[in-house]
This record gives sequence, C-alpha cells and structure tokens, in this order.
Amino acid sequence: MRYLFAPAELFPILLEGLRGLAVWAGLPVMAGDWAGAALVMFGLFAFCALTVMVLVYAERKIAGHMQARIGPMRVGWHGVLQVIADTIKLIVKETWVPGSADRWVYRCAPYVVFTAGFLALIALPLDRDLTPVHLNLGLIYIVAVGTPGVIGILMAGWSSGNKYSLIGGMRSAAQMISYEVPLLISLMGVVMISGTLDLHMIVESQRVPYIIFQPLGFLIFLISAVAETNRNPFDIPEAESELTAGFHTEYGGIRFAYFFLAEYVNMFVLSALAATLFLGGWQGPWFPGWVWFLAKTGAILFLFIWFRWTFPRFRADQLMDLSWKILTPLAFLNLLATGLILVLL
Amino acid sequence: MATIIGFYLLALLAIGAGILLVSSRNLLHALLGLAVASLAVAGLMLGLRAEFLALVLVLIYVGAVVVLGVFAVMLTGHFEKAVLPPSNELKILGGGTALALLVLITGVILIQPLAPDAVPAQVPIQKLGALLMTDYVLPFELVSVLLLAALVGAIVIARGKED
Repeated sequence: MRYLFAPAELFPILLEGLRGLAVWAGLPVMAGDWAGAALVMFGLFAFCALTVMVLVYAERKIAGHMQARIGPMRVGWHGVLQVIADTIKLIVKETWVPGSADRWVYRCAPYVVFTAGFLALIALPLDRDLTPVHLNLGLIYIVAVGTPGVIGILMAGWSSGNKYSLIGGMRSAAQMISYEVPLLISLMGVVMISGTLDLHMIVESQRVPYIIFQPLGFLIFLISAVAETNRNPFDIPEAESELTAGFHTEYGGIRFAYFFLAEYVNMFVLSALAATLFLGGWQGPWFPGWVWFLAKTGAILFLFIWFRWTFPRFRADQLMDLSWKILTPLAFLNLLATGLILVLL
Repeated sequence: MATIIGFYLLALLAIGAGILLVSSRNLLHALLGLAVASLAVAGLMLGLRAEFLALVLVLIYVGAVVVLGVFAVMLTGHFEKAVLPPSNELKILGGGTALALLVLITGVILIQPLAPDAVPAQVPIQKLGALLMTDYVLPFELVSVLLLAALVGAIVIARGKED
C-alpha cells in the first residue's frame, strides 16, 4: 500500500528500525510497515487531543476576555490545567443509554462523527517534507472523508429517541449539506489556478498566497466553514434556548467528549485547509514551515472564536437564504470569473 | 497476502451490510447498511488503485444519497416508526428483476472472463475530465437532466397539494 502511505517523508529512520525489528523477530518486512502506520495514527491521535485541549482553553480564555471576564483561573497557572480536569471528569463519568434509544446506533454515532474529522487530518501538509500520508488527490480526500460526519450527526439525533435531539440533528444535517455546496465550489477556484488536487503542489504553486487572486473564494470558504462546524452565528442546531443541546442532548461522559473533540477537530481541519489553500500553507520566510503552518491555522482559528463571541445567532430561514441565495450564486460567479480570467490571460 | 486478506474482509463487510440493507425492516438501519456497504466497496476500489473512483463513491453515496435518504424518511413523517412491511404487492416483479440482473451479470462474466493478470489502469483525473467534456459529453448532460427531473419530482412530492 505504498501509494497510500508514504512514511519515508515522516519517519525514515524509525521505519527502517521497525522493519529491522520485524525481520529480527521472524516476521515479514510488511509487519514493520504496519507498525509504522499504527504509530503514525497514534501520533496523530495524540496531536489531535493536544490541539483540541489548547483550542478549548484558548476559546474559554478569549471568550472570557471578550466579555470582560477573566476565564478559567483556578486549576493550574491561569487555569491551564482546567481542560485536563474537565477531560478526566468526562472520562470517569458513567455512560448510559436512554431507554427510548436505538442502542447500537446511539453507541456508534459519536465515533462516526469523530472518525470523519480525524481521518481528514492525515492528509494535511504540515511542512515541506511533513505530511502524515501524501495523496495525489488530497483535496478530494479531505472533502470525501468528512462527509460521513453528517450521517453520524443524523444517527445521534435520531437514535436518542428525544424530540430535541431529532430536531437538532435534522437542522445540523440540513445546514451542513447546504453549506457544503458553496464550500466546495469556492475551493474549485484554487484548484483551477493551481491545476492540481495535490495539497503539496497547491502549496508549492503559491508564490503569492491565493487569497490575493481569490478574495471572494476565501470569504465564501470562511463563512461556509463556520457554518459547517455548526458554530455561532450558525449554531441554530444547538440553540440552547430552544433545543437544549441539539443532537447531543442525550449524550454524556466519554461519548459526549467525542462529539466535543469532533467539533474542534473539524474546526482545526477547515482552518488548516484555508491556510493551505488560500494563505500559502507552510510557505514563509525565516521560520521553519510548520511554524508558518500552525501560525496561519491559528490565525483562522482565532477568527472562528472571535465570530462566535461577537455575532448574534441567525434565524433558521435566514441561514438557508444565506447559503442558497447568496453564497452559492456568488461561488458560481467566482468560478466563472476565475475561468474567464484563466482563459483570457 | 495482506491485499487478499483486506479484499476478503472488505468483501464480507460489503455483503453483510448489503444483506442488512435489504433485510432490515427499519428504514434507517437499512440506510446505514447502504452507507457501510458503500464504504466497503470504496475500500475495494482503493485496493484496485482506483482512488478517484473510491473517493467519489464515498462523496456521492455516503455524503449525498444516504443523507438524502434519511431526509426523505424523516419528511414522510413516520421517522419514529419507520418500519417497513415484510413484503408488498411488487414482490414478484422486484424479485424477477433482481433475478434477471443476476443472470445477466453472471452470463456476461461467463462469456467474457476477466483477464486473470489484468493491470488496473491509472487514469489521471485530467484525462477523465477531458473525456467527460468531449467524447462523453452527451451521456454526461443526459445524466444531469435526469438528476434535475428527480429534483423537481422531489420538490413536487414534498410540497404536497396546493390549497
């Protein structure tokens, strides 16, 4: 499966070591490759958990300061250990299944949602020579593996056997499939300019960040990305005042933690995608590539958090109008203009 | 070796999910069966190095068809008891069609056996796109008209009768 997994870019020495170990233990060389793949996945999971913890802490602190509060302060220095305390609480909490739930679907849903977000992580180019898995069709891959997330949300909403969950799940899914249309079309402009779907090549082809050529595309992508992650001002699916907590009302403990993790992982993936496609990814002077990648992703993540704590919530009909009547036509217009300019120049 | 094990695991998963899809009387379980079967078939395509096809299959079947299916079930208003009757008046026609399709496919495979050492072609997507816009532009446009008709039909059914 070399074409799927090119570990030579990431762990050449480690992989040789694992292969040697496999041969020494009398196993086929392939066992070493598999161990390498497992290690990469484990590393990514750790990276994912760490990123989410940093994000949750940042969100709470930023929210606090935006509202003239100080945010978490008690656990650790300026509350840095608060997230760890919360995680431990979620892990040790009893998990239970409501009596009216569809048991298996209810149990599987959080993992479906999380896996969809997590799988996208493996194709992101973190640095010039650092991509966990290098794919020729990286962009389509990221878009495609994210789609089962909608099904996970519908599974959660429906299987909980609770009307708030069901309505929340329906709203989430309707919103996500509506905003997927402008999101995908806004990406096509970048694909047309760079002429490739390989995320590495897209980054390398950016002498100037594509946001200069695709300002409208970037704007549409950003708005759709906020809506895709069901965050304020597009958080009708979880509107506390009317739907308690939307599709995950009936979830608690570790299963709720997975939904929470999935929300932040999706946020990270979409921000990283925006940084890669529109802001030049790991390219930048003076610092190593991964610093630029993380800095650009962080800047967009800050925008996400900033939006959440400053804008009021949309109404359900306004939300659909924005997607279908404004963003989608604008995205098509952007695509047409990009095509015309490319042909004429 | 690993490829063969992977093939059989994915094939078993696809068949199992397919059986769930046609035998489950709960419509939503059936749709989840379709999602799993599509993912398994996409995995098989990855094994054949048809990466683009695999990703498009996931994008369209899991991302669109199953989600729309769930919506369709929920719009009927029976989502809490989305239970199918064990059979209906079309069972002879449906069974006959399935049987005819099975005979047809088996016949084609028997008449025109697959080359045992066929190397799957790596078609670059640039070529695929160019073909869709030149040689196959008419079928491509016809399919889009079909989808448009389905879309209009769905809206008509969902709106119901005008008062």
